[in-house]
Amino acid sequence: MALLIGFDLLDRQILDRDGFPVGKVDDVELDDELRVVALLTGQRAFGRRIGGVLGRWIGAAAARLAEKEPRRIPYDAVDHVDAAVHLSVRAELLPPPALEAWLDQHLIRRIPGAGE
Amino acid sequence: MKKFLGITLGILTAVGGFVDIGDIVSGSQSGARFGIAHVWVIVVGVVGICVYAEMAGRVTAISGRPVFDLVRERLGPRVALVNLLGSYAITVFTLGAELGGVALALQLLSSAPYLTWVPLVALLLWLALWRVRFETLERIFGLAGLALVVLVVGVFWLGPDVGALRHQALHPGPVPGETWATYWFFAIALFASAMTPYEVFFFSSGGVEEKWTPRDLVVARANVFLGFPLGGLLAFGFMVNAAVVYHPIGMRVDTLGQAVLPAGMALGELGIALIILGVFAATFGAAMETGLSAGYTVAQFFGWSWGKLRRPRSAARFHTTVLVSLLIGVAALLTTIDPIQLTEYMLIFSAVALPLTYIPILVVANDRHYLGDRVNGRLANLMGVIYLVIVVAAAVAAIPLMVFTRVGG
Amino acid sequence: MRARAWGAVAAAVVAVVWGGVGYLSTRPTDFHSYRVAAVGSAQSAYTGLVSGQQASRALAASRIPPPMATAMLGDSRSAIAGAQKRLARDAPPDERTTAMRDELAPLLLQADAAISGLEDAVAHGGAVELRARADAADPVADHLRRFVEEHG
Repeated sequence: MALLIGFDLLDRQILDRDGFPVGKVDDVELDDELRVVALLTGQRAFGRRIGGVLGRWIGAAAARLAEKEPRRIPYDAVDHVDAAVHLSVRAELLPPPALEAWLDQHLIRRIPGAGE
Repeated sequence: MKKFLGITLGILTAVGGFVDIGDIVSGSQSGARFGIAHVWVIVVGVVGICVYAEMAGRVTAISGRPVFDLVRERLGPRVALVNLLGSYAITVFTLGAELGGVALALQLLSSAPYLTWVPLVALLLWLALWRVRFETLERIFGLAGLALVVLVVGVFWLGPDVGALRHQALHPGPVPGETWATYWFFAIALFASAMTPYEVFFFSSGGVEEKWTPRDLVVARANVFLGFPLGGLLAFGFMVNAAVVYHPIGMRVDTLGQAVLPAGMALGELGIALIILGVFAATFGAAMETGLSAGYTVAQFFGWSWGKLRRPRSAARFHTTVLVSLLIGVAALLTTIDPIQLTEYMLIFSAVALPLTYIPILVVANDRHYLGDRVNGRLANLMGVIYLVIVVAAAVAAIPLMVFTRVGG
Repeated sequence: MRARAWGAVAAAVVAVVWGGVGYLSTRPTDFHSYRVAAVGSAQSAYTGLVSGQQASRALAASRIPPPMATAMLGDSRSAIAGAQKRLARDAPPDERTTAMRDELAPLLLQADAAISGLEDAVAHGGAVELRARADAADPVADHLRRFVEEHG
């Protein structure tokens, strides 16, 4: 699939099969032949992409949330790319976002009416 | 028939929802000091927000994505991050000012000082955003905001000097006792109150949640092109009342009580009831919009799940952001800064941040990747560029004028 | 290395701004800045006083509810107190400014007394007393307005 990485992939919204937001394409993983193997999303990937002091700080904060490595979505899971990157799988099957889970567990879930 | 009612309801909601504390403060203050010599600024501002809201609505209806979402793609993560930080700071500032406005309105009806109302209002606001069906809220507060029409109607009871008013409207410029510097300062504040940044992001995000398609464009445009100008008329109500009551005697408007008193002078306690209902609805509604907008911009930048239609547990980061934003707004008010003063500062800093909001929208609306052949036509681009020039001019002049005139002096 | 350069720049900016603010705030007042402060003070007091009169008259005519009148008179009181503080902040540097202060300071006191009287009338008096006290404050209001027009 001939896509210009810079134009068509990076910073694009990733949506799962049902249109649920998964994250942004913060970074991409390339193989030796410079083909896209996986999409990287999440704080660690974003921190690395931004670079500089701020980026390192964001990445360190992510590490503290038990995000050992960036969320990785294999490129096979991508169905098609238009205004967003549409996956062929549901969000539950992907590695979960660390911050979302942390906030859900420690804050949101404890407030009545949060829904199940 | 049902569709017609739906459209009418949407327009009325936009009318009532247009006014916020920024319009109230800037309209009343400029009316007291300059008469209606700034009425052209309201017209210019309303046209501007119409132009850009139409663009944002079109982007959303065609691409299915909210505008701020696309900003990061087009401008790159670093520039968009700067944009986000600026927009977020202004939006939270604004949220604090709106909360202050609600508290001030409640103070006028009770004997309790406004600061005691602030935590209660913030709690109510959070509860409303947490679980209540937003569409219902939006309708209620939008329609209740229509009560502000009492100012437009009531002014005729105050025996206005129509000749003097017409002279002021046709001779834009400082009146005796004012300078060109203060004139332009208030012009910028008024302009910023009309081109509120959060409005566009809110409008676009709402469109995504309602799953707009190209067919919804007609309704969206009706809301914008009819709703916003009529909303501007309500904002003008504050200016013209201050022009009739306060300008002839050399008074200024420094408090909310002064801004609403003319409704009582004209129509008695009924007038007061309506105007305070209107102010409450306008400011509380705006507080809801700014709170959500703060969450939208952060969530859409990072790609999180978001939305008032999603259960909180499936959008934990978004709801946390809204909660944190509310807390920051409350904290700003608890520094006991005068909410009217906070609003004045908020307007000026909004003016500085306007290019951050509108340049990306113009860029995205011209991108064929998102809009296909529905990109901006020549008229939209002409208006867009003209307003961009105005917006940049206002942004550049805002802080120097603020310093030079000592915040309007 | 870049971080250190940015740090140095930031520190320099802070130092300049701090020094500048310090310099500007401790400079002795001149005629112009005293006049600006005095006129601003008179304008706030005038607005506060007239607002109190308007609220009182509106209440006397039953055009506004009592809590609103109370709230507005409270705002008037704050405005006049703020005006007094602003006037008292600097010492008048010359004769003209001393004359300004001697004219304005008693006016501010009279305005404050008028507002107190109005608050009393709202709490205890009737419509007749409210109107009387509001009218009694007219000369003070006029004098304040003349001050603003003369020196503004």
